[in-house]
Amino acid sequence: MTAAGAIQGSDPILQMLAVTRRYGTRSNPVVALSQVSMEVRPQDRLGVVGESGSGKSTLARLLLILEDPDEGEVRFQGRSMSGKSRSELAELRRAVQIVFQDPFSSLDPRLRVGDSIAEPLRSLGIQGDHRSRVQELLDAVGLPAGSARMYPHQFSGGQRQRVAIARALASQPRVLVADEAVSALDVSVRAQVLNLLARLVERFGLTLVFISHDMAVVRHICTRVVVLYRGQVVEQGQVEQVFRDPQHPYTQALISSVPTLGGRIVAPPTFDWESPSS
Amino acid sequence: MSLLEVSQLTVDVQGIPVVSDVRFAISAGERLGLIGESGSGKTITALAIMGLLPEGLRARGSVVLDGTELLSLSERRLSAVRGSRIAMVFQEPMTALDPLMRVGTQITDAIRIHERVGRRAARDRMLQLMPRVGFSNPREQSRRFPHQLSGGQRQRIVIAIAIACGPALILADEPTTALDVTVQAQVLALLQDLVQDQGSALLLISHDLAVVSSVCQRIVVMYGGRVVESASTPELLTRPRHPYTQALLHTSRGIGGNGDTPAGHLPTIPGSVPELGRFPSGCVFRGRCDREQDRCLEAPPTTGSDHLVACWFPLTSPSDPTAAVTTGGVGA
Ligand SMILES: Nc1ncnc2c1ncn2[C@@H]1O[C@H](COP(=O)(O)OP(=O)(O)OP(=O)(O)O)[C@@H](O)[C@H]1O
Ligand SMILES: Nc1ncnc2c1ncn2[C@@H]1O[C@H](COP(=O)(O)OP(=O)(O)OP(=O)(O)O)[C@@H](O)[C@H]1O
Ligand code: SF4
Ligand SMILES: [Mg+2]
Ligand SMILES: [Mg+2]
Repeated sequence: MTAAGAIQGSDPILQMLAVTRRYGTRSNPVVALSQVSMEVRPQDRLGVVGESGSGKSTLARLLLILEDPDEGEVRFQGRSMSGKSRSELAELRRAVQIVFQDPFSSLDPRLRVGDSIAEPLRSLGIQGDHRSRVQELLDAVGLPAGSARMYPHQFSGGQRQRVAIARALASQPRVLVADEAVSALDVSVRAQVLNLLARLVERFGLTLVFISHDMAVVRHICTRVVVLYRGQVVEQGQVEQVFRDPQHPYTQALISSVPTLGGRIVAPPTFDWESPSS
Repeated sequence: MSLLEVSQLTVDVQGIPVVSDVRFAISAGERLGLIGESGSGKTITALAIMGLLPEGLRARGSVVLDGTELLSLSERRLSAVRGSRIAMVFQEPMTALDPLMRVGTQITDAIRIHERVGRRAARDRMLQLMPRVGFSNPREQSRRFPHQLSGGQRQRIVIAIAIACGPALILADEPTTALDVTVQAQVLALLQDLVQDQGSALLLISHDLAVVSSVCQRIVVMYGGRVVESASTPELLTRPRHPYTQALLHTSRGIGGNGDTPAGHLPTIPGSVPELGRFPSGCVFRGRCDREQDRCLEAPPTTGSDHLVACWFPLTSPSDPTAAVTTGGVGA
């Protein structure tokens, strides 16, 4: 039934074709994404970078079909997802999961952590022993078994992010989208969570879409990168290639602005100072 | 002679010290960085220096600016010091700006509060100041309200207000944390140039070692409300002595490297920063430290002169194998 069998090794799992997304009113539209084309291939570790408001989270929501594009289309395993019904989206919901920046607001404070982790299993109607699945997941993210009975407020920020990752993995997704998933964490804890993510990607053969404003982290964890600037893809390619030889002035500014240990602060010369980019 | 000398600074919250025995000094014109992870007491330290601690918190110890003890100063004399001798730049520029007032007027007012000049002269100075913080069209841009500016532009207005009266010291608490990386680079470069131009000293607070080490000549590392290490920037980067500093450096190098650390193999520090009141007795870094021994049950003394460290078993010279690894990584 599923088209998965027909998919060749490196055919894209997710694809955006000339996608435009607008918010705001008809008379005063905000173009969050404009004519964006990009793809996510199996085993990709794809970074999505850009300044605040460049459209990164919008891109994530569209990839997860939490919203529909105003123009263009999003394809999952080669099939257009425009106008699909809930049941038709079920396969995508299982296959693509997301972890957000703020572990405080993404976990229901009234739910025990075990119930939060099992929630996608229930809502997606996945059969099996949910309790033992929760234990497996806690183990995979390095949390003690007893965590299932605890509440989010009893955990540190880094531990809460582990819980959010466990929940995202519950439905055995193929693609994990991480939207600024480590940005709110302390330096020392950020390294732990990045290591965890990298290990899980390896272990479960996950495809990773890693959204971040932190170029150094993207360079560390990703193989490919898409650079967004004001809703448009200005550059994409292999991470090392883009870092060594950025083509677009914005990418150049982005890379030269990253502070380094004992380096020198250099104000990017190409950047347009006076345009408010809120 | 130090411009600012902080010693034995301690701030308690309901009997729990959030800042303990903090000490450092800043010379005139020096750029000093204060780094530490969330909750390490950086902001409380800055607020204590400024005499701006929130209700219910009191500072003990000593904060001496130009020979004057600030902690015992009356609120009236203290507020005269703020703004004329010390200026502050916060993470969120909107806390420092009046949303209902044109930004140019806010700069003009700051000039007039500290200098006896007429409205016209102050306005002229404002129009000269705005290009220095990157506004190319001051006549038009000074008429805008804060909400009509981007985050980076607002922070540059706050910086203009801070430098308006030529303070001896600018205290900047995470001034660029809320900004995009390109805007951060502009604001930091600006701050650095301005303090250099007018000979002000800078206390730059950040959780980002890369930021602090790029701007500052000396670095103070805080953990759990204490200063665990302080040294010149090159010294701290090449010869860290505290295990916490060394671990932070390893992690930062791993992430900041050019893809030579395989993903998933970043050096880490076990555990996480405890919550307030949950720090261990004795050395605050106990439980996360790989050099810990029984002696660490007792609080370690601070030793050294130019390079201070609070640890019973600090990393020593490059002959120490772990220290050597760090030193070797620097040029890479
Ligand atoms: N629901 C919405 N309604 C109106 N405008 C929106 C909405 N969501 C996003 N926008 C606008 O779309 C643009 C892109 O926003 P988006 O959240 O995708 O950016 P981002 O790159 O994720 O930024 P950040 O780094 O701050 O998270 C912004 O101008 C934003 O204000
Ligand atoms: N008004 C307050 N009342 C009680 N406790 C406070 C108050 N402000 C801060 N604290 C506590 O004091 C400790 C130090 O806080 P501080 O804000 O100085 O940390 P910080 O190093 O600036 O952290 P961050 O990087 O998150 O800004 C924290 O545990 C914090 O919860
Ligand atoms: S005093 Fe002991 S526990 Fe503390 S940092 Fe030094 S070796 Fe580690
Ligand atoms: Mg976002
Ligand atoms: Mg702070």
